[in-house]
Amino acid sequence: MPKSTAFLKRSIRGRFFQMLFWLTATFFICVIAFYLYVDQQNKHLQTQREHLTEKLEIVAGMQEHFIGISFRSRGYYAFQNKQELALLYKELRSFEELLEQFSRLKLSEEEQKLYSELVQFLENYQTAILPKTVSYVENNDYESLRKISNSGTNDLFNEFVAYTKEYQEKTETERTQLFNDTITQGQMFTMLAVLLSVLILIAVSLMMRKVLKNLIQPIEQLTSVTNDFTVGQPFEIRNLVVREDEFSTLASSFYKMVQSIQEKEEVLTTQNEELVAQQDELQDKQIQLQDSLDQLEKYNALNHVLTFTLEKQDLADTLHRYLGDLYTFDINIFYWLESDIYAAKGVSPQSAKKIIENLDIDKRTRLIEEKIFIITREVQPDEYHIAKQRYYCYDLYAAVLNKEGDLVAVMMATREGYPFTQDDTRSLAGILNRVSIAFERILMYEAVEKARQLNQNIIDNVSEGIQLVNKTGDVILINEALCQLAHYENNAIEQPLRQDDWLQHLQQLCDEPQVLHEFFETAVMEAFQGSRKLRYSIVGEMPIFIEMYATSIYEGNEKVGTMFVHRDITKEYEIDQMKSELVSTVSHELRTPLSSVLGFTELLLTKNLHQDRQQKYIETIHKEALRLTNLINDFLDLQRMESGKQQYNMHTLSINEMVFELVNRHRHEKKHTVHVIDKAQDVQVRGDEERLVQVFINLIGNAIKFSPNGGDVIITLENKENMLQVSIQDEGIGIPSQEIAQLFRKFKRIDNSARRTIGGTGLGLAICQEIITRHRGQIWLESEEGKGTTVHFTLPLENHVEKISEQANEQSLNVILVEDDWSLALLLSEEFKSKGLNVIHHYDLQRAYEDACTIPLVGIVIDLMLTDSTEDGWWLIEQLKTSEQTRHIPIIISSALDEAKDKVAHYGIAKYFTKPYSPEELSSVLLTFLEDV
Amino acid sequence: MTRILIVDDEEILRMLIYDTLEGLGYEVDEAADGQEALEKVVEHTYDLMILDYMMPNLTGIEVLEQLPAHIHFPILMLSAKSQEEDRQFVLQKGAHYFMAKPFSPSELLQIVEEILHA
Repeated sequence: MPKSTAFLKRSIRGRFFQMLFWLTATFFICVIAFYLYVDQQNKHLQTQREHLTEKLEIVAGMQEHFIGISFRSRGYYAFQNKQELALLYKELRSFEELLEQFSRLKLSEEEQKLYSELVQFLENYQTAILPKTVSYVENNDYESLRKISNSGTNDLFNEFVAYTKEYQEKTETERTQLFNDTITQGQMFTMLAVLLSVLILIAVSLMMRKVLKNLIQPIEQLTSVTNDFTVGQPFEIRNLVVREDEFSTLASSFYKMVQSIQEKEEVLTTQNEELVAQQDELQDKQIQLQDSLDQLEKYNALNHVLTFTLEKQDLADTLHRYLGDLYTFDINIFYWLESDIYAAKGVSPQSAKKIIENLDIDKRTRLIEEKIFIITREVQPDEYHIAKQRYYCYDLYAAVLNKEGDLVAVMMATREGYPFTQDDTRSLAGILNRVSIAFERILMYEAVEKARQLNQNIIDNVSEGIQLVNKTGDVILINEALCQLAHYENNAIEQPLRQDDWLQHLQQLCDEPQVLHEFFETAVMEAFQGSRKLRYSIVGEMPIFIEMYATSIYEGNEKVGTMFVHRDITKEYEIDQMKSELVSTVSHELRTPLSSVLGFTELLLTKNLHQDRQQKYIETIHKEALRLTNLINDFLDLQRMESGKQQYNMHTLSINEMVFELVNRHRHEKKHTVHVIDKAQDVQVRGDEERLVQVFINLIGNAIKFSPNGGDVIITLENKENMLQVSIQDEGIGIPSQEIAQLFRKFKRIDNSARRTIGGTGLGLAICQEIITRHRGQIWLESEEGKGTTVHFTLPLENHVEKISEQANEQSLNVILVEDDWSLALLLSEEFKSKGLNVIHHYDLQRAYEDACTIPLVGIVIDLMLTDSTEDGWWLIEQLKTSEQTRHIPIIISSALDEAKDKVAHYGIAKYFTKPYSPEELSSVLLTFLEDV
Repeated sequence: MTRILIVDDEEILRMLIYDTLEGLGYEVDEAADGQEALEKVVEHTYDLMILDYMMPNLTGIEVLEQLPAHIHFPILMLSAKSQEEDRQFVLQKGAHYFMAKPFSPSELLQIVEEILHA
């Protein structure tokens, strides 16, 4: 421990503590001494003050009681009151007590004198004066009393009171003096305290100065040494080390540190030199690395293209650029064989193509066998650039082969004066191998893309709407047909169409949105086998009926989506509707005649009927049975035709021939006249005779049936372009315009009572349409209610010949032909037409006359003997000649009878032909009329 | 005398029914369509109406619907539609009896007599 004690004495800390200790000790002693002195002084003053106060109080008390004695005595003298006397005694006792207290106090000389006077007075008063006065009072001797009062007792009183007053004032002055002394003393103490504080402060400052001096000096030395060391100057530290305090330790540590630093610095300098050398080396390497990085980037770009590109041109360009950079070719051509895709540098595209195409077979063989080969050759004088001396150039040929080893691309490159190394060819071979793979990949992609496009086309061209949805119901594929069906605009879906959006769209359109919604959702959510079906319709002016199939699509066992196929079944639906309508109608149409057949037969069997009635019943049954038969025949006909089973025996037919024969059958009609206007130059068509006759029978039958009040039925034949147009016109009840469109539908008779009474199967027009359509013709009709109907149909002409005399037709050169022999009528008609005349054929004389009145005519040809007519031809001639309008029309008679010369002359007949005659003769006569006009 | 009204657009059928009922003490009246029938039922009173279903203009059903409220005589509907549902439909629409076409006159007579004697 002696060492540590010594250190404690020497060390800065030790010394500091020592100094602090002594300072604190001195401070405390001074403070305590000061305190004790002040306290003692205070106490002394306090005692003095208390003493004075007590004395003052006692004197004041004595004065009070003294005055009390005076008052009570006077009171007693005045009133002889015993009570006053008692109080006087009491006051006397109190005064005596206070006097006693006063005597015990420390008294001054003056006070001693006062005391003895008072004691003397009290004794005198108690023993002499008081008893005397009491006896005077009791004897009422006021005279003596007054004497005693004047004897000086009162003087003594007054003297004492004056004295006490004076004493009180004196004591008060003394007390004030004492208080002032206390204040003065306090001030002095404050001064002392301040002085003491200043002294302590000075002592502390001195001490601090010493300590600081001890601290700062060595620190400054150390700082200076450090500075010297830092700037590298010689320095001395020994004077610090010899000290024995903390600075000595610090200095020695510093000294060691400095030494260590000096050593390390030397090492570092050496190392630094090495580092500088290494840095130079690194910079070189970095430049090399940068070069390699550039190469790598280019290689990466090539790699990217090799791996991802889907275009041959892109591949060719990138490869060409990369190889050009890598091998610094002067001329470089890359060419995809069998396509026009190439990349070239140093030559024009045309020459590049030529060069590759002109590769000789040997080089091609070498390419396939070796893939890469180099030809070294001397540069020809015409290839010289600026340098004119001889040098070599190196032609490199490289091939890209496919899997099968066929040549797919060729690369040709030339380097002038700079040969290819083994490394060059090896790396090039590697790159070209990868090009070959990339090429295969492109081919594969193209094949896949083609297949995908094909699929897309198929899907888009399917007439059913196809829609593929994923597991969550979002639409991932929708084809064109569905878009059209559902009036949906966005065909090319970039991102999946959300289920809600799609359903919302579709629900707006369809008739039962809720059902559709549920079907769609369950089909999407549930995994099911087979397919589910729902029918819905898209509302609108023309409702569309759709059958939707849903099929789950699986990958393995997991459902990955749902396919919906929307099929437009509007046609099927309508056909269904029509079928049920048809069944209902057929049922009705069959049951009504059956009722008659059954009913009347039963009546015949059960009732005893008159013969007329029986006859009528049987006729009715027959009629109704016929109606049934017709109906069934028509129905079967139509069925056969529609199902395509109807065999058509096509022959060359002359329609006019057919018409004339058919019209002939109606010559006996009572209310109707059926006649033909034949304007057609060419009437040759290919058709099935039986079927076309059926058409005519149907249409003429309709014309008659639907003009119950009679009238004309005119059949007109015309050529329209390459068609023969037949029009059948009646003057019947007509058809309401809104019904016309529906008329060709099965069983579509117009339901008005007039038509109802007419009867018919309701299948006629449908059958006609079917037949005409099969003949590649068209059928339509025009009608006005109450005025009549015209049915038109066309048939294609067999030979599309030019019209013979279009001019004649245009001028409407009409000839009326009245002839009841239809074959002759036909013959004449043909003849007239060939001469450019239109033929209006009549059986009926009256109708012929009417036409003659209205139609401008070239002439009129009349048969005299008309079998069904009550009148003969002469009647018509008579009519014509008597009418002003028709008198001028030239008349030709065609008759089997011999010429009645007189009549001929009488009517001015132009020419009389006796059958048989040549039609040509007749027509040439008609033509002479033309010339006359 | 018992009065019967036949309403059918087919003249032949009217004749058949007429002849069937003839001579049995009925007074038979005819109407060729629904409109005529509606006019006749207001003018005269009948004991039975034999009404055809399928008629132009007004169908049998429409005639039933337009019959004045005070008319209570039985109605026998004739129809080519012979399915049970057709029959139910007709009865529901206010006809009292139904007969499918084709029918035999004796059957018709039987039903008529049943109705009138019920």
